[in-house]
Amino acid sequence: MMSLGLQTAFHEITLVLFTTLAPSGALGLVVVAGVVAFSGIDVFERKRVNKFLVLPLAISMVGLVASATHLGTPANALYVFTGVGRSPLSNEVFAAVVFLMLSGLYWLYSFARRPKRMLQNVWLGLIMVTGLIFIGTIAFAYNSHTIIAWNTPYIPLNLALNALVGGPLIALLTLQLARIDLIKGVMGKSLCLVSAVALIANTTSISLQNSDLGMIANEVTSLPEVVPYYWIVMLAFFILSAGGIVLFARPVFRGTKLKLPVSIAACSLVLVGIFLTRFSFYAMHLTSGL
Amino acid sequence: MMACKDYHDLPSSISYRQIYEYTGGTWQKDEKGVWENDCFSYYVSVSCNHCVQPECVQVCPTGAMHKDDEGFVSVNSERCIGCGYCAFACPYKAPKVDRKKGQSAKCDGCKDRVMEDLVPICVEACPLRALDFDKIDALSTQYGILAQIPPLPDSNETIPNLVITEPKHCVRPGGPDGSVANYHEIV
Repeated sequence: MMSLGLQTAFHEITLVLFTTLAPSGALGLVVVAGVVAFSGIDVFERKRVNKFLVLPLAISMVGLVASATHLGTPANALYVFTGVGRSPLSNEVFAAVVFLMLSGLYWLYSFARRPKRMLQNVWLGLIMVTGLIFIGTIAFAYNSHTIIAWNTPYIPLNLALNALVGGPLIALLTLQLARIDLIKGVMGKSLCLVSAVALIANTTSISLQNSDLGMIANEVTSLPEVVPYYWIVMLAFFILSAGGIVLFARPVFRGTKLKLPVSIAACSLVLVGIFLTRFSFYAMHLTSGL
Repeated sequence: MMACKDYHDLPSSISYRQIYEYTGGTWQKDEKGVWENDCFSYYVSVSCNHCVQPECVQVCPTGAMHKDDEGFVSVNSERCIGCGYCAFACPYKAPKVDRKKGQSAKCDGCKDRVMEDLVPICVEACPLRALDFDKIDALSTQYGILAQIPPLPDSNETIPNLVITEPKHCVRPGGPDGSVANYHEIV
């Protein structure tokens, strides 16, 4: 049974990648948008952040492009919008398109010779709202009562917490690239703390989910047989993500210089940890029947 | 199953109808040293049940998976994107993703035959006449209303258009546990 689960996850590897990158990328963008709109940074800093906003945007987009490659007949993709309101997957794609379009156009507009600050702030507000909605729709994308493995509160909770683990670090990396001094103060520390608290919360949630796996079974098999290694994934997720957070938090809390390769390594570690949880999500697919 | 594969020209990796072997029970020695057993085994032939509340239709993002006026659930290949959500959601494992075609594929109830007043090919081919096809009311009158036996899911979930004559060794509540013995034959 374990091999069938692994097969499913390998088949859906692009979705594993999408659901790893998009939630964290989107939350990173939401945080950066908040910093630009509300933190009172000066006009030069604003310009630099606007430029590097492309990083979380690209991370979210790579995810979406990756997910499109798993489609057998992408030519029919526009019909996806006919299911908005009915199919959770349509809702997710619709939210993705709105969020990424708003963000992409904002990024382009920020290169205008005299961008209107008021308009930009409203725009950033919209990006923040649609970003959070996008993350919510990914969390509930597989909300179907017949898929018993996924129809539990742990699934959307784990995804939202994943975003809270990865998002703040991606935001920090973006602000670091834009040379924003604020990250050396309370803001940087707060973002590291949010990520750390989310990591603890998510590990707790996965551990509770792991102990409940035995209750999820159909006549063919049960989840402990499908993902017997789930506790190892939880452990790996915790160690990798904790490593990433510590790498980022050390210079932030010590007030020493942030080094770009270290920060990139920190984000990568966290994303690899999240990737493992998403891989096991697809591997644990189980319906109420056959 | 074979007639279906032949009629619909399916590759070896896809089968619209599956036969589940449900088996269980144990052998036990009593105090006089006599061996007794409560072993059992029966077969359940499963295909799409063209449910009243098909979850595959509910979750399909493009509306490709649809239930038509005659009640058949089938894939509109002009809309299907091959995302596989229907295959994830169906508790009867009815829709498959045809990776070569890049779309979902499933039993269409042999609608073309039914429209010509013929029965689906699986019904016609079954040598023991274990399968039958008609409007659900007619089938219920003839065979009763049982629509779930292990290993099938709770019929309230999707309300399948299915009636089953209970196998002689069907597991009853409190009886021995069974399991699907041929899962690796299922494609």
